[in-house]
Amino acid sequence: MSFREEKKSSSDLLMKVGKKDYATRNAVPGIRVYGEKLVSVNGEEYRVWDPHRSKLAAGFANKLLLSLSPNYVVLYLGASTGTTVSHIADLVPKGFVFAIDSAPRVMRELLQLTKQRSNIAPILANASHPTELASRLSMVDFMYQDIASKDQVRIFVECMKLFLEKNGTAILCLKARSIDVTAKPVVVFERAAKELAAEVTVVQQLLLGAYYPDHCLFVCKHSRVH
Amino acid sequence: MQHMLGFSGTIEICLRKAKLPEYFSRFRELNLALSLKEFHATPADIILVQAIRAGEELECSMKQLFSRLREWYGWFAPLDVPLTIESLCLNVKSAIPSSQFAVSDVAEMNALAERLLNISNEVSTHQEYVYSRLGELMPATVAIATPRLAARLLCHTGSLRRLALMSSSTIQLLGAEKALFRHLATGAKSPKYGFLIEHPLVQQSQNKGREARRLAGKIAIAARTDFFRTAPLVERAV
Ligand SMILES: C[S@@+](CC[C@H](N)C(=O)[O-])C[C@H]1O[C@@H](n2cnc3c(N)ncnc32)[C@H](O)[C@@H]1O
Repeated sequence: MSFREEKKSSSDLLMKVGKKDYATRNAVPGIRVYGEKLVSVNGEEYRVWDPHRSKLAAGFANKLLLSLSPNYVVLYLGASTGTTVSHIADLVPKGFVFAIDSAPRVMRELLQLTKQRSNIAPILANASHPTELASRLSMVDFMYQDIASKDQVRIFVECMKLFLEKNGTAILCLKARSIDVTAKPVVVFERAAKELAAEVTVVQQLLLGAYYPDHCLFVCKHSRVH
Repeated sequence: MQHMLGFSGTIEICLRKAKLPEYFSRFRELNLALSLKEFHATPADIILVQAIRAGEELECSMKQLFSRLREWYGWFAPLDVPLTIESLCLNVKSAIPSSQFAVSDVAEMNALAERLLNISNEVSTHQEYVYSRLGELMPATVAIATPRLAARLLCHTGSLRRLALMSSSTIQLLGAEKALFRHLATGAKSPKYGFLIEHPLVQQSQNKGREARRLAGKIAIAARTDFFRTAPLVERAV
């Protein structure tokens, strides 16, 4: 299902506002999460999703093929202060978001966010050892990972195998410099793509353009076993 | 870590399939509780960094206000502007209004002097607090590096853990990052010390680079002693 069709079927939780920007229907009307703009569309309040602040928003601005159903269960690795998490939570009002981060400092903001929204579980934990997370999660329909660690590809693949439903979608957000400072980004991306392809199916590989010059999104699915 | 959420496998699958709200609200509650527990287990040294920063900010305000008050009082008594906070404030308080300085001018200058004295006291008591906490949390490092330098290093690295895992050559150059990167980029002279120049042993030495290297080695050992003395087992297994 293309993103456009999804827009209709999920009763406009994600809207295009203005030329390029997207916005998500605010699950907690009147409340801003990180100083984003609030706009009203057809009498409903939307939070503008700034592509400069969120790589997933930059992905949508760059033709990311992704559709989230309102009842999706989501695993978010590297939740940080919850900028992107908040928009995803807007998109799955009947679903749920497991938001993981290892830094206590950013967890403070995430706890605040959780207080306002009932469909987020904050998890202060290191994702390097995915099996240790098992008792705190359920299986998920969508997984998103944005952590700047050297072994992020391994973590991503392990988490996919452990927590992603058979038909689920997973996105890895890769920052070239956090894998190898000296190599050219294209080289790092190519290497990561190969590493991923050995384990899963990469359905889309997407550069984020001027928003995040040395970042790349990999949209992945489980490989079919015949 | 083993956290049981209290669902057996089959039941979990059923609940999950049905996407029952109760199932997820339970997940939310339990994860929230576990995360809060973990959050409150943050080591004291990480939290002490806030106090150290506050101390630096207090000291900075004190210096700024002091030089402002000297500047102001200088228009009142140009021949006699004291060099210490205490005597400056004393002078300000005994200032007598003149044709140039009305009663309200002097009163306001007095109020500022009062505030400055308060901040100056606060700086000392705050420093006593920080040094005594440092003494509890990293006694070996404090003994080797002096409390002031230990505070600097902790503040700069963010945690005792990070300091303890640093090589002594890194510690030697903490605070000299700019010069180090300039050295790496342009081949300019490499720095020999950063914060360590504050230490009396380095300051008094003829060969400051060598002394800084020696001191860095000792600080590295001290920091590890401090960290591994108290770190929980999981942390030690890094
Ligand atoms: C670049 S930020 C993510 C920003 C976020 N995705 C957003 O768009 O709002 C990366 C986060 O990953 C977290 N992180 C890094 N390594 C991690 C690990 N091994 N496990 C869990 N979180 C990790 C960091 O604490 C940091 O907050």
